[in-house]
Amino acid sequence: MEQDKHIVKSYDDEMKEINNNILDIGSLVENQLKRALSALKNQDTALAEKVTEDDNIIDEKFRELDQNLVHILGKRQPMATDLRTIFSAIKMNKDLERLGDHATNIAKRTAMIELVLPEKPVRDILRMGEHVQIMIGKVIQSFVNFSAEEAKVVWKMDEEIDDEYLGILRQLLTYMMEDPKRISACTNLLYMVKDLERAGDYVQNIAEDIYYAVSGEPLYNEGPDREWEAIKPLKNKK
Amino acid sequence: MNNVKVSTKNVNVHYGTKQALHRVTLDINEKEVTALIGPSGCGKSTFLRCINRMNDLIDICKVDGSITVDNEEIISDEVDVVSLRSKIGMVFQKPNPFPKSIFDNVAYGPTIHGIVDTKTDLEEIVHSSLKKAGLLKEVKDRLHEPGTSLSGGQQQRLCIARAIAVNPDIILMDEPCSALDPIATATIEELIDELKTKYTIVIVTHSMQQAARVSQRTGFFHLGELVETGETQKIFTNPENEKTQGYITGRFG
Repeated sequence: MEQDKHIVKSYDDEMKEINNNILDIGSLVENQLKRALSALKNQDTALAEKVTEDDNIIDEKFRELDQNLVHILGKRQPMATDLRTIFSAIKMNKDLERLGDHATNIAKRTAMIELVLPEKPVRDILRMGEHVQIMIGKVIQSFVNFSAEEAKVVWKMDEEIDDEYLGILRQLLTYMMEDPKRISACTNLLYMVKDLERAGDYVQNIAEDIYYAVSGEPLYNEGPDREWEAIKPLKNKK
Repeated sequence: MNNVKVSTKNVNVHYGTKQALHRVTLDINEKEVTALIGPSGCGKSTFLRCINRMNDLIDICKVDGSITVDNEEIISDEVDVVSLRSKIGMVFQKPNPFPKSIFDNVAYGPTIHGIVDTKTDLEEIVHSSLKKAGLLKEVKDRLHEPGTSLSGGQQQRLCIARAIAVNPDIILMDEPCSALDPIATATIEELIDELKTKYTIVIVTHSMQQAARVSQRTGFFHLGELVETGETQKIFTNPENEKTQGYITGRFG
């Protein structure tokens, strides 16, 4: 983030620390998802359990940043771009923590599953997970570059995640209808795909926060709820 | 949006050969608080003093351009400055009560402007002005003690009561809280909030937080120029000009 320096040097140091905190949590969360997906791919229970435990590290970082943000708000009474950055950081911090929870959920479920999972949906879930992971990397990069344009690109990417989610959802429903013995395994996968869908939403929220911090303008999701539009027809089927 | 009460166009102020204000054009809305911010020497107080022709008191000071109050030009030799100033009250940085009693401080304006005929009317004005300034409760049993016996915050509210007593439309405040502690400051800010329902207020302040708290519109001055003006909320969250941004975030001063 290239801006003129504050007259008070320690204010700059504090803002820099907030930035570094966000980057730390961002990369922890990205890695958390990466390892959760790897555990799923290899049905590696040991790794899944380790990932589950490591959620504490993210929570700890979240609390630390939360404290730093309250302190800087009280101490500096920020204005304009500083105010927007700190306000956005408060929201980003919470969203990153929740993002970490969803990655952890995938690991938790992987650790519990003792069933053979159907290959095709797992493959698709892994691909979707990689896409979310790429989004996390890009959204963090847009924060580093303090770029509203880059944030908007990531924001748009959530549409693809939603499409993937709906595709896998239909696929899993078909699997379950075809063979009720698959219901247990597929239910677990359903939860995972929902976790990834929510993770995508959180990345989108973070992109909105960055966009606002940089430009001062809000970025809203307009139009119909795409998930609801896609599943609504199912409701009327007898 | 409220009506425009004071409108300035291309106002230039010179102190001798030095130009202190450059083509300042600004509309001040009725019954709103307009805050003027900017680094020391940027011209914000000079601008404030143009509105009640206080700069006339400085020999080397020359003001040109146009300033209207209620659509009437005030930069003209034909303007009755005394009557103009009765419409425009002023409160200064340091509380400056007259060396008189609390009562006489407030009664002074209405008396010299001939606003009242009877003693009862005068008492009524003094009481209502002290009440509007949020001071009556604290001083009602000691109205004949000297104004200077009050605390700093009370003295400042006494000065506000004195300004209100002549029934002005506009109140100019030049850093009214800079000599006060945070509690007295909060009391004055609460008072400003109430006063804006009846008066048009222009406040010069060095505290950005105060400008953000009390005003609806803010103007940022720098080196004698009005750099940016707009809704206070917009100025403090998303100013358009880089200089404004730099100043309010503490990146230059």
